[in-house]
Amino acid sequence: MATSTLASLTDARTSRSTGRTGLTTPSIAPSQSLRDSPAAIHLPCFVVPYDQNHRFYGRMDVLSKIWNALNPRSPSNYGSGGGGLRTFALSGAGGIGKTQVATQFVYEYRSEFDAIFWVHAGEIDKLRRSFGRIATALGLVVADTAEAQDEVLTRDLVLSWLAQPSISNKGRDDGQTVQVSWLLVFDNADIPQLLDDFWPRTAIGSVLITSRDPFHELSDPARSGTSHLAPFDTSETADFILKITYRENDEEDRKFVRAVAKIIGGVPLAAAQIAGSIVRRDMTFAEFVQEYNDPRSHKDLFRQPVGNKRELGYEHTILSVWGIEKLKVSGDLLDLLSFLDPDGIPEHIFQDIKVSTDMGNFIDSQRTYENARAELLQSSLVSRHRTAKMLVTHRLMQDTVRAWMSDERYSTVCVTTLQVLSGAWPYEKEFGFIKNETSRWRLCNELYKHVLCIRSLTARLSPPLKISRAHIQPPRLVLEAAW
Amino acid sequence: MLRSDYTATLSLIEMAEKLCEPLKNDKEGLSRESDELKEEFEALLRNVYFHRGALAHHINKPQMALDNCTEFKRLLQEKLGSREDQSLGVAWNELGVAHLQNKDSKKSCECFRISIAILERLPGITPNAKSMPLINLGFGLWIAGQLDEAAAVFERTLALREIAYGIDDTQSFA
Repeated sequence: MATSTLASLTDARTSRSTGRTGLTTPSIAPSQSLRDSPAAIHLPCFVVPYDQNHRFYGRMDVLSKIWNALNPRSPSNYGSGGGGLRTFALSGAGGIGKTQVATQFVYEYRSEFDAIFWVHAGEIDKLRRSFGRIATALGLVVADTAEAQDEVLTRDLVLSWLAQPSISNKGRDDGQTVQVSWLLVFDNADIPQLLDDFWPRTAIGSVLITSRDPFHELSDPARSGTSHLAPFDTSETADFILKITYRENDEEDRKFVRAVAKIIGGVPLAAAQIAGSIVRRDMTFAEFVQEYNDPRSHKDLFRQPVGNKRELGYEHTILSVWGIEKLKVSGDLLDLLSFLDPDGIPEHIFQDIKVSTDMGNFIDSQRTYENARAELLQSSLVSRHRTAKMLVTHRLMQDTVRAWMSDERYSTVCVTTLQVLSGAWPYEKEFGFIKNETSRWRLCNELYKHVLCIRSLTARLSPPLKISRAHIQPPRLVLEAAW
Repeated sequence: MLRSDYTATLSLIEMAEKLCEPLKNDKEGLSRESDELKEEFEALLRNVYFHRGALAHHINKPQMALDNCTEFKRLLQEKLGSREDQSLGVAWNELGVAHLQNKDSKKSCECFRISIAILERLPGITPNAKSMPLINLGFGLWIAGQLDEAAAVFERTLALREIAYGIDDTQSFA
């Protein structure tokens, strides 16, 4: 049996790239189940719940990498025979732009695939519903029938079709069977196990996965591509902000846009949210920077919903997008990290922690720390330099975490962080009279920037009314750092 | 302070003082917990004044230097009573520098001499330990116009430091 792509054999392609968006509705409602009638498959099929974002910015290199990995006509992924499953895993923190990149990819390369399916993979119910929509859109079941409501059936039908994505082209004289190219997007697949029952194991096609987890189990480096989305750099963020606020030609705002970009720290979702807030309130960038310098403004700012769900794919705030509220074992560690210099937090400060604190479930062992770290890494809320044993996080994420703390919690975490640093600080042998022991200086230098970072955050700090032994380390550390 | 980042130094000292603030209102509570702990906190609070006084010397704030060095010495004397230790010698030396900054060379020289005397009386202290107040005394005398006495003090101090560190050493002030 000879196969070729649908593109060269059907007239159906002439109807694609018309700009039609959203769930594809079959043009002819079949009167019966079409499982045994492959000719009735509705192609091209484009099941994507988001509109194209016409203000999409940058990421050209990533889009190119995805295309190289998922190109249905490229035999390079699986040897000379071609075929098989091509996968690409796109990871990164919430709000970094994974869904946006995936959305841009499906629109930019829409004409390269006969079928594109978008699956919400964050929850099992959403997975089931997404497969149900695909089954209906392909014409495997009839909308609003009992079969269409059967989530096991629709899943199996879709997986079967993906395994043999061909249609009989009965209109051709030679009766040739046509091979169909398809792309399946599993968006927000943060829990890989959820995909087990929905994974097209024996299929021939392309799969794009977005996930916070940079170690996605489904990404096989030998057979697929991966990319961890980094935040925009300051220049990219500045350009992005000017673009989405339509202020490219505003000379006054251009002067301050880099200051705004530094606050946002390269997280596109945050840029979109903050830019929306600036525009809604008709603020200049200079006015925004001045307001942001007061931490009391942060909570209201981060509480505002992200706009235009159809374009951005989110309906939540920055806090919920990052998934901070869902952390199970790493909340305390994240709170501590939010008081330290985000550009390089040495992990040794978390070893053998001896602190007395009101923080519940605090890190009390190396194992507890490693479990917490693993959860943060999986959520891409922090990244890790394995060689230097350093954690790196985002400033805006830190601002968000702190903004959500009660005043009491804020003081507790602040003082506890000082205790943690104190445990690692190389004190002079005789406290108070500095003998300039130069052997200490390297470590002092490493920790000093973190003490300064905490110092910059003490406006909300309320010292305890009554002090005890638990409170002696923080002022001692600060005083030594002062020298 | 050693980084010459004096704005950061001052803000850290103020932060330390803020963290020690409850001590002023809860001394009895601390005593109930432990006399040793109370003393540790009091040492912290004293060092807030010591550090701020030393900072003031570096940034030429005469009144700030005098206020903080005076308070540091007072708190230390209050703790020690009739006893003496090395820290008391340091306290008098710093107070002498503060007076020198306030253009009172007579008082500064008195402070340096007290500092030297305390350090000479302490058992087990090397002669070099008093070299700091000696150097400062030399400057005090110089400023006061007592040049011959100043030169004698400098020569005496130089000899002490050469015994401790060798001739023309490059390490002792590193």
